[in-house]
Amino acid sequence: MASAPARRPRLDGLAGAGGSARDARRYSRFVGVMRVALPLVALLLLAALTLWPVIGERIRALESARVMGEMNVPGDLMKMTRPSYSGADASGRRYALVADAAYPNGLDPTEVRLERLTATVTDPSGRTVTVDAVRGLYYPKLETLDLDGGVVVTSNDGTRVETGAATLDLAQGTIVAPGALAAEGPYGTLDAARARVSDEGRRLKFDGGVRLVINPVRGADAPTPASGPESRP
Amino acid sequence: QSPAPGFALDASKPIEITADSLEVLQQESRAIFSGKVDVVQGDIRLRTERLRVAYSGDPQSGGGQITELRAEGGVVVTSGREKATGATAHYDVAARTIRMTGDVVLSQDDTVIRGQELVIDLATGRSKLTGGSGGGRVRSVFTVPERGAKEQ
Repeated sequence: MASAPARRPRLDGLAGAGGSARDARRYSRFVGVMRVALPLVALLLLAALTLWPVIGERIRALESARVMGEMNVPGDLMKMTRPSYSGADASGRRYALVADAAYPNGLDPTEVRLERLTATVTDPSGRTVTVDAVRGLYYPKLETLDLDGGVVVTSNDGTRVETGAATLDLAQGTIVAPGALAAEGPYGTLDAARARVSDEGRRLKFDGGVRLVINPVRGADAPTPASGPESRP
Repeated sequence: QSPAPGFALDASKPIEITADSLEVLQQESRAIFSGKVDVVQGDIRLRTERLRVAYSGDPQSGGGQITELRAEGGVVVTSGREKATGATAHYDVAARTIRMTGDVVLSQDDTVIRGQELVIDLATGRSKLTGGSGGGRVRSVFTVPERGAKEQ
């Protein structure tokens, strides 16, 4: 999956002083996971593949976010305002990550706290996936990104996924949403108590109760009324 | 004139599916619902323990279709006063048919028919129950309503 980016991506200070090829690969993996994950959810909606828990309301009542502990970045000595990172990879996928503010805990940070971040991925076909999160905590060494405080994923085909928190493991190519997840798309709606995307997006697992409502196919032809029972033993 | 279920699929109604868990295997274009699976569309309801779904096409290109549903671990299909139960059921979406096999019991109010295979045509609502392999006879149980309808 590690397709080396065609051009060296411009790194504006998000992951430490000088941007490295390793960061570029990390972000292209992040992109890889996101690029594959969302179409799967759309496919999911399309393919009528969900279950619901007892009732939809119970899901909404569920405390969705695993609230991250109060993050303390020692001294807040470093703050970057409007850090942004953009790039493209070999397959022509463009991606950008912007945050209102980033607080790395040092020059070679092990932790970067992000406020109000938006990641956008556009693939050559023009399909765009955007992830908005209120807070993020990026662990460059672990290559994981914890999003929290409300995460909304939208794509330009009309699919929208909301959950409280999500953990992206860029190295493993997995996304885990520990809390309730609600998705909506042109095909219908999907609710689940938990979700996990793995294998670079090729495997999705929803459990704790899943509910899918699939809208009828537009212009579905209503069948001829049953013309009468007939049984030939 | 033995009654049989008049299952008619109303494709203009949304489908609602609930279960304990769902796993989607993108590479194999299939997904598995497990645990108290409950599929409702209009008047028709299908409950089972495990539901395998196969789909085709690729949503990224706007295509994508469900091609079949396969229920295992005991199946109950109901529609109004009619009910059909069996070990497995296979719903062919394109052909709009449900095929149930394994100790199939068809009931409508208090009339019960047993056999080995039931095929329901969801478009016309007609169904055909056969004794299954080995020429097993279909056993039918009728209750004669008060007005003394003709007994088979």
